[in-house]
Amino acid sequence: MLALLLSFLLSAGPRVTVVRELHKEAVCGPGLSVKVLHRYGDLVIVGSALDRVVVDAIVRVTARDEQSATELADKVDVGVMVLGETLVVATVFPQGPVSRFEPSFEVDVKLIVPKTAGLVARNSFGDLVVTGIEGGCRLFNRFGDVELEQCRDCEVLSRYGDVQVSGSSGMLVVDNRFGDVFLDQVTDRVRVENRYGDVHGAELDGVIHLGNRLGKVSARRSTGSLTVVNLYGDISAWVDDSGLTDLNVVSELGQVELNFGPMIPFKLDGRTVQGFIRSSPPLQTDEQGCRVFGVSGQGGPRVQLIGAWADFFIQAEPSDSNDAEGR
Amino acid sequence: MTKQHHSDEILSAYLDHDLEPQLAEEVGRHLEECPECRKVLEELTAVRDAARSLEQLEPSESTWYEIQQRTRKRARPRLAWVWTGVAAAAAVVLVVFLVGRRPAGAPEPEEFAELPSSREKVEAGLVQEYEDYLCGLEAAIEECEAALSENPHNPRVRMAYLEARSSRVKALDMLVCGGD
Repeated sequence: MLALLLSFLLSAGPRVTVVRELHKEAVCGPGLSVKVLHRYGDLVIVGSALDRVVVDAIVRVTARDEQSATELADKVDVGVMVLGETLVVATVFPQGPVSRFEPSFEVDVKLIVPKTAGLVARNSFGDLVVTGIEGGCRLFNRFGDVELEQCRDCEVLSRYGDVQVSGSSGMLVVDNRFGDVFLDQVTDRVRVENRYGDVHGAELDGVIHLGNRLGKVSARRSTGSLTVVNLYGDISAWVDDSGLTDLNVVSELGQVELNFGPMIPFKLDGRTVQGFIRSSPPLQTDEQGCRVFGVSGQGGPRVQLIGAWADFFIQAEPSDSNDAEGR
Repeated sequence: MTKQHHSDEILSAYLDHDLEPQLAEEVGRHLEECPECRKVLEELTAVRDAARSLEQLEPSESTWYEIQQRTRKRARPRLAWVWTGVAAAAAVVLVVFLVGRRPAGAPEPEEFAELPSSREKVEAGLVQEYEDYLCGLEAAIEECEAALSENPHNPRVRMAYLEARSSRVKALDMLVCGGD
């Protein structure tokens, strides 16, 4: 431990960086899936109509002198090979004791893969960006952010970084711990479980589940069926699209802020054991102040709130002239 | 008697003996004559006593006030994934100290009986979250150390390593002495 910290302090001496570029291509026939194993740099994967895998990489190696840096850079490679029904792309670093060179390896990889091929990608100590994959993907990342765009049927397992998903469809599962999750224009079936960061969703459509423990959760302009479960963090939800069919909010301890857009009819029933409820007409609370309910207009989403120690702050407006009858 | 009631913060500080002597004396005189402030003080005392009966890692009221101020002011730098968790957790645990707000005489409706969330369970869950959080930081540190042995000068690895260590120190510091 002390040696590591000392090495940080002693690393200020003169150093030389060598940059090397790699380019490789390989045919990826129908039925092959693609597996990518990478570390120490960003990994960008783009789905295309091509039937091949194209690798472009930039290798940066820093060492005490140019000879050492060049020698090490020559040993860094991005291997492409077919193993059974999987085309494997793996970044390879020098083996054995290299610490005498006090090196730094960084490899940024851009990969073009067939968009219909199934994809598994692992990265650590770098970001992972995946775009346009339609054949399904499983992404694992540690110590870096994940960006997923225009993909279908994806599972993201992330630790120590943020996850951002936009324009994706099909089944989406996000399991994150130390970081935030951002969802934008994601449709179909979504399940997010986060723990120590926030979860933000906008324009989600389908059957959506947003779960969290210690961070905040917010959801805007959602349609379909939305469930938000948070144990200890706050929840902000908006019923601001008439396409929302039902909203279920469960909060153990965090505050729940619920906002209704104008002219959106709804039916609401909420209860909290030990929290406060603050609401406005057309909503009513019971005598004990732990239940809130009300109807505005006809149709619209069914909203259910369940809290244990959670406070509810509900901002509602009458939807139209039918409101009085609805109550 | 001083006409103006004292704020919760002043009374809390009075309870913790954190006030300047002159102000403490003034608050004491006011309390002798003001039943409303005495009631607030009793409630604060009850909350503090309840807090003391929790897990030994629970810090003082002033600590949570400090945490709250920090979580509001702190901008989030790149790779601040760990700090975010602490801040969120701290803000949440702050809430625990504010619960029990429903008047003591108000009965809990029978229909809520199926909700299993007793205060003890919530607090036990929070303690578990903290432990898991710290375990997660330990795992991050170990993983970074393994990466540093292979790639000792990689800037991303170093940043992640320092961030994880720093966050662990902050988390422990926050629990033990309020982060100062």
